[in-house]
Amino acid sequence: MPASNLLTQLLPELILLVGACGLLFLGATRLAASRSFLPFAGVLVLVAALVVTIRRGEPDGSFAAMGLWISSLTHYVRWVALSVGILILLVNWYLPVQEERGEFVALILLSLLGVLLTASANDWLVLFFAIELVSIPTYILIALSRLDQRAAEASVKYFFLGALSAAILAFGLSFLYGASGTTQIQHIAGGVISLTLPSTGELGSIAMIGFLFVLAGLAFKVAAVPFHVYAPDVYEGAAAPITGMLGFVPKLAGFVALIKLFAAIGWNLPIEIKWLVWILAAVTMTAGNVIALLQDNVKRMLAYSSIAHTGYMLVALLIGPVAGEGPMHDGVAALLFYIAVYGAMNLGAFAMIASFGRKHGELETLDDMNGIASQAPAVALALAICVFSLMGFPPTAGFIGKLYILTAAFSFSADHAFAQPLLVLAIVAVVNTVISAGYYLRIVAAAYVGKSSTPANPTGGFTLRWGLAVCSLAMLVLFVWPRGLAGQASRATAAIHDSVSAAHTVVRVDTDFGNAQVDRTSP
Amino acid sequence: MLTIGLTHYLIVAAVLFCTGLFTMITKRNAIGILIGVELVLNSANVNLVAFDRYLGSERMDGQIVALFAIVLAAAEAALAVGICINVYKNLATIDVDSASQLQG
Amino acid sequence: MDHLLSWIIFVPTLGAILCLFVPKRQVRVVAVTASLAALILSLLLFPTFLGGGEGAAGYSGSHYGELHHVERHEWITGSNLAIEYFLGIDGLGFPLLILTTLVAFLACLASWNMESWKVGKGIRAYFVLFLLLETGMLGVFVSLDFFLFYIFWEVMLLPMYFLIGVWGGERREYAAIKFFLFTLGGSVLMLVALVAMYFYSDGALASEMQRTGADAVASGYRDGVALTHGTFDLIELATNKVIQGHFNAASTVFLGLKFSTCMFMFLFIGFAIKLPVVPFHTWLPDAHVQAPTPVSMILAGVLLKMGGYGFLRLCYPIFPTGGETWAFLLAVIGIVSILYGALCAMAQTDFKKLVAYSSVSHMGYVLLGIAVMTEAGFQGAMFQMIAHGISSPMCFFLVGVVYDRAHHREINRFGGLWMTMPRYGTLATIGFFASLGLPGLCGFIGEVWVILGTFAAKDNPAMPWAPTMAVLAASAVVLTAGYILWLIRRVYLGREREEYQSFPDVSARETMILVPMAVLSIALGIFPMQTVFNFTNGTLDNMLRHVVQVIGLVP
Repeated sequence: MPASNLLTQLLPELILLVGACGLLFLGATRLAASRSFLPFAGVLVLVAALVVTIRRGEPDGSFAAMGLWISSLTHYVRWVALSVGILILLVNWYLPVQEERGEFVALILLSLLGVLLTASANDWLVLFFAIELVSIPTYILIALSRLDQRAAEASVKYFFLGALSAAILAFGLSFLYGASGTTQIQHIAGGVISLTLPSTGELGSIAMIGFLFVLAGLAFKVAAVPFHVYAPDVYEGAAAPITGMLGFVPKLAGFVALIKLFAAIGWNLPIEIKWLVWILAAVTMTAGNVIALLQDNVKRMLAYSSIAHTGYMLVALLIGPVAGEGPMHDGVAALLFYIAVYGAMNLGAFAMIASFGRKHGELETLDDMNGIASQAPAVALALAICVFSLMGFPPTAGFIGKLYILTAAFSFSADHAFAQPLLVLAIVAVVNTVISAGYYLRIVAAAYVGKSSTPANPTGGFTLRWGLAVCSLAMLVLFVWPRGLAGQASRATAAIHDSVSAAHTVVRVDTDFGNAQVDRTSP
Repeated sequence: MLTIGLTHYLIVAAVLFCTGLFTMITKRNAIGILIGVELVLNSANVNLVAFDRYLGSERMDGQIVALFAIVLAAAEAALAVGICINVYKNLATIDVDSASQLQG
Repeated sequence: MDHLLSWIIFVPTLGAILCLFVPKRQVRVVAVTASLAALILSLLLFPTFLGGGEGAAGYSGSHYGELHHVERHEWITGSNLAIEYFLGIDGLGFPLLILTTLVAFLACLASWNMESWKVGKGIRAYFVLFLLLETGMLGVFVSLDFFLFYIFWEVMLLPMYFLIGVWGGERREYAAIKFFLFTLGGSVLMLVALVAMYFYSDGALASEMQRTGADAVASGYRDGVALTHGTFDLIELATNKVIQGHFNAASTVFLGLKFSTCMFMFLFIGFAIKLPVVPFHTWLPDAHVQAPTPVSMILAGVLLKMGGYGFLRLCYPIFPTGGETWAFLLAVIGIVSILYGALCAMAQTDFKKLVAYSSVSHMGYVLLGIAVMTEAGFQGAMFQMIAHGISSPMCFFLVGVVYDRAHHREINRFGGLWMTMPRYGTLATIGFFASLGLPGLCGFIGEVWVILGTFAAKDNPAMPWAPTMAVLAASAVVLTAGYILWLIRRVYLGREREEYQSFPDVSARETMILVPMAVLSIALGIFPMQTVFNFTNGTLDNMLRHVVQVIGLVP
């Protein structure tokens, strides 16, 4: 592939990279004194990248070179991440309070760049670095987000656990390399680089070890139980607007990586892994929702809610693309739909917290929220929409998202070996919706029913309001007209479907590592 | 006579991994924890190089990845020091036990 | 295709939108006008159901699935999926639709002078939510696409939650959340059933097409229409032989359980919570007591009926074998509800709670009548729903009238109100006697029909001890009479009390609300055929024939 072609294919990523570097420089100049200049420039960069992405449209066929594979999945993740990224910047407009805005905006852009690269990665090395690029800026963002001891503490916790998860991920990837003999994730020309043994059709022990470690490392990123412990502390410590980003960006990257991991073995998961993910999903959503019921701090509550949502998405991941196409049948399309919706509704909920202030800082507990509906009816309405969407209640997009996951679980034909456990899991998810209503309703009730002699005052500027308004409107629009996003999500899985159907076209199989027999067809 | 094979390297890596994990869990000092993370990362490097050596790749993918991982480790160390300084400014210690405002 | 039903559903929504823009003082006028418009539009449906000649069957169709004012548009379509905007009305939905528009209009009038308006807070939000609630309720009774039905069913929860939570009494937050959680708990089971029914009907059609080699299966009730994939069409699910055969076959399993048994139970729990039956009733006293009077009227008059409507529209026609399997259990639950509700009502000292528990008791008759699967049972259950839909809002409003004046609801602290407020006393007596089931008033017919229907089930092997049940249900009437008469004695009779001397009698507005309900209570009691049975029996009998036929066909 000529280099110029590669560069044009990577134009959105390049725009982000150059924009982020530019913002770092601008942050040091006098322009940074103007409050809105840097965030505005950041939004411009994102809009430019988004325009390039959308104008280019879906890649016809796929482009692969240098460990990258620009596929329809890349296209989907690009525009979802960039659109939500614009909202994230709108919501974070007034952060941080210090003279570090240049770095702050640049780091947000870099983190988004990491997501984009994760979606294009076709090499374990690139994937690993892309995920680190997502995470590392967030450690700093938390510390910068507010002048609070708790923010410093949160960044330490997040950093060390994040670094550990990266190390575990690397350890797992080294085994996948050992099992397949290449760092490539998927073989473009045809078929996957199978990790399964030819004799039995199952994962070899080396591949299995690698798979489990990679799963664990990514489970950190998506905050699945039992790797979720950092989430509540980190969410509580960071400023609310940046928390809206923390709940979405690493999760998106993590799930894209998980999709790639599962697709790499053609979704032909060994039964042990299936049950493992099954338990992971069930425990994650149940624990998240049940613990959230016990919280009084709104941010911790939303942190546990985000853990629970990871559980729902794991259900979709487990269902996979096996049963058919379109989000009604395809778990991956349902997952992609859900995570886009989740990004907006989660951000909206945190933006609401950011749009009220009390004498000593942010809203913390449910009691602090008492009576905000009478202070700012419009913001409270937007909050209600986002919260009901998180609950998965019509008429919001969250309902459609849950519905897709449910239908995908049902579309397995009954004679499929894993159909019944999937049905049970879907029912567990549905029951969890009811549990989650227990605390979501408390949030709405605090806003609307609670009375307070000193209600919190509306703060934050109009960009925050706009971000919130767009998030909540999107929830309503996507309920009435889900087909646009659903169609995109469904097309995004085309490449995955190809690889799943080609799963048995094995390019290289050999894991007898004592005396390796290499028969590698060159890529 | 014992021939050193791939298995031995893998065992070394596994021991490194466990040591690193253990260090992370037991150390209270932030720098100590960082060293634990480095050990875990290096166990991955040992694996990568060993697999590369024994599976005979002409492209040396594994060794290249290991190099990259070392660079990443260096970057992470720099970041860790920055974050530790930030905590030190706030709490005047880098003992992670004293960072306990967030109920966890 | 006419758009009458759409207009009826969305006139309140239009009113709600208008309410957002008019000045605050006009909001009430707009809201009342909108609900009146919905009422008038719904009365336009009468000609459709009139003039079919003598006898019940002539009035509403010769087979189940004869619909009127049908509207069908594709709404959400996919490669092999069509969720339709599908409205239609038959003898099942029609009386409930009229009831809804009527009760909503009266409740809207009842909201005219709420306490909160004096401080001028929230009047706009209240009426907007109220009208949206009306849209949701009307939508439930006319949508025949399961998905659409589900959306209306869920959407209706939101305004209700806020109406109780914001304008309710002391413990409104608790009551609102409890109401929401209970209903949501039921409706997620319904959601599972919804998805399952779609995919199982899809499977049934697919295997039939494979068997016959044709590329479509003829519709069960629509001439010249063929199905190629699963459907959410409630009538199709009930009448299509292929789908019915698959749904009710013993070999169709869901998670190892018989499909029809399992799905029937899922749907049943969803509707039973709404109805409500013991043991799912605990939300009801809380919600009723905390809700403001007009919302209580809606809750008792319309929302509870959705449970019964759901049984008749979904559970029985689509899963007749499930109905047969569970018949005995359901009848027992019905009896327990009747007795337990009555005994609880007897123990109450809170006026409103007493009326709330009496609802549990009355809705037990609905469940019993449906569970026995006889003509009289179905008819009686339907009649009981309508009758209760008139008498219980009336009772709640009567409670509201006295609460507005006394600001408490302690039954034992009242006395002699008939003397103080003669017109109120008279209307109250009609209302409570209607609820009691006095012959000549509306409560009587439904109970008698249900009891007769229960007797009639004595030959059904699925219903052992039917006569015993009938006797138990009949004896519960004594309990009902007990608590109502005792209530009337404590509140309305007896010595006049000093502190209530100054109470004004019912105002013109209050009379306007009470009189229509009083008149209807009497009319339903004296002319049951002309007011209810003639409209409903055709559909109900056809449905029952279909149910019995499927039970007979499937081994």
